[in-house]
Amino acid sequence: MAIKTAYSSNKNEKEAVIELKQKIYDNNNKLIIFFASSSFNQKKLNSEMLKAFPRTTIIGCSTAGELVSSKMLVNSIVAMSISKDIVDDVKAVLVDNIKEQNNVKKAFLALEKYYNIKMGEMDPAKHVGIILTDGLSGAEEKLMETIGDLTNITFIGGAAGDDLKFKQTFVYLDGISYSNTAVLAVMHVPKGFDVIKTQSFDVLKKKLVVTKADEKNRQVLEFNNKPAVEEYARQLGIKSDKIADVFMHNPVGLMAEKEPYVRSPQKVLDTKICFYCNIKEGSDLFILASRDIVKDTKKAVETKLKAINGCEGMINFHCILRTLELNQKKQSKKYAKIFEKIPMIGFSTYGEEYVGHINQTSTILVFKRIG
Amino acid sequence: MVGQIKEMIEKIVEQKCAGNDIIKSSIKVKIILKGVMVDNYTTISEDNPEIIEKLKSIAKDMDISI
Repeated sequence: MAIKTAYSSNKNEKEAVIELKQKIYDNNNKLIIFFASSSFNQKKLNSEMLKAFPRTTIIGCSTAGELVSSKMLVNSIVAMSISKDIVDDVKAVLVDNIKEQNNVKKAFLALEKYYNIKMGEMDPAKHVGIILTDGLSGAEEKLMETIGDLTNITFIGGAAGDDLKFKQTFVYLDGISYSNTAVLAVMHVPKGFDVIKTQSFDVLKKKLVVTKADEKNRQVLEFNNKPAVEEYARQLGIKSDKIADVFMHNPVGLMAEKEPYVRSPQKVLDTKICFYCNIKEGSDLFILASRDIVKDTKKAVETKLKAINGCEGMINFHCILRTLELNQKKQSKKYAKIFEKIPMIGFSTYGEEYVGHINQTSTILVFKRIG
Repeated sequence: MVGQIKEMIEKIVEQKCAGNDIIKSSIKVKIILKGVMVDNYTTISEDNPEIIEKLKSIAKDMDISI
């Protein structure tokens, strides 16, 4: 099999990695991806992974929950091995000090040196990037914006989590864990890939123009020239002191090419609203209304697989807010069942990356069939 | 002069996608995420100096000459 997946809920790092290795080790491995609960000793876990897979590029990050084909897990590790038949080349680099600086260009130089192609000239049909970021950095937008400026290849990924502790998250590269860092891995995928971006919302005809924003701090001060809280509540026909109750089910969407790029409100601060992502002044946002995540995701996956005639495997960057909603509605098993016949790993993220930084979405990298 | 914003957007998209129509959509999304609502502008839209400056900055970031 060109892609193998495994999981372990063994609390002992060494034993857990042995379990994973037994299921996914292959001499033909080109890339190992793994996502692990923050409950593990990150240093020890990564060291064991390097010992187990010494001659393979290893990337990953800590999570707010793990996904593997037919399961949604917590306090576990999920891992995927990808063979040279799918990814025949890969180069992973670090972007350091992401809170304080923007070192994407420096990281891109290393990628260009390796591939001997300018990032701006890479074929977007055959190259794809994975991005994993420190989920508490607040740096995702500037990273994605710079990446988007410098290359046309797709970067897809997620912000690392820490099981909702909001203390420290980690990204992994070749046996070491890092904070305040992002991992960029550019893969050459000769048989091709595709992307599913799915968010389960109806777009309401309730427009909120961002007339005043503190972009750096992810806060909106005014919508439609009125205090943000007041206008959000007015549009929904509810009292201002109730809007936090509806944030999860009524976030906002930035419409682009007929699709919402979800912006999730986090909390109220006086008359301002704080978001889980950057909101640009001048943006037109529309209030959204949540739908059935399981139904929509099943449809999105089935439609894609029909269009591309199946796949070898998937990586699912799945928002923690979706995980919480699925748990709330007791739909986690149904959600996991969507992927039961597909080699898939993923994790509950603190934000998803696809073109930009987004919320309450699953962004899924799909590896096309090789034969 | 009217329509300048639409013209600038089209130039950015054309140059950035360099003939690859498949990525046109993602380039438009990138511009929208940067705060310019591309679908709001037509050939008869009034020029907005703030948006024009934003587009010049976007072009510079993307290493494009418009």
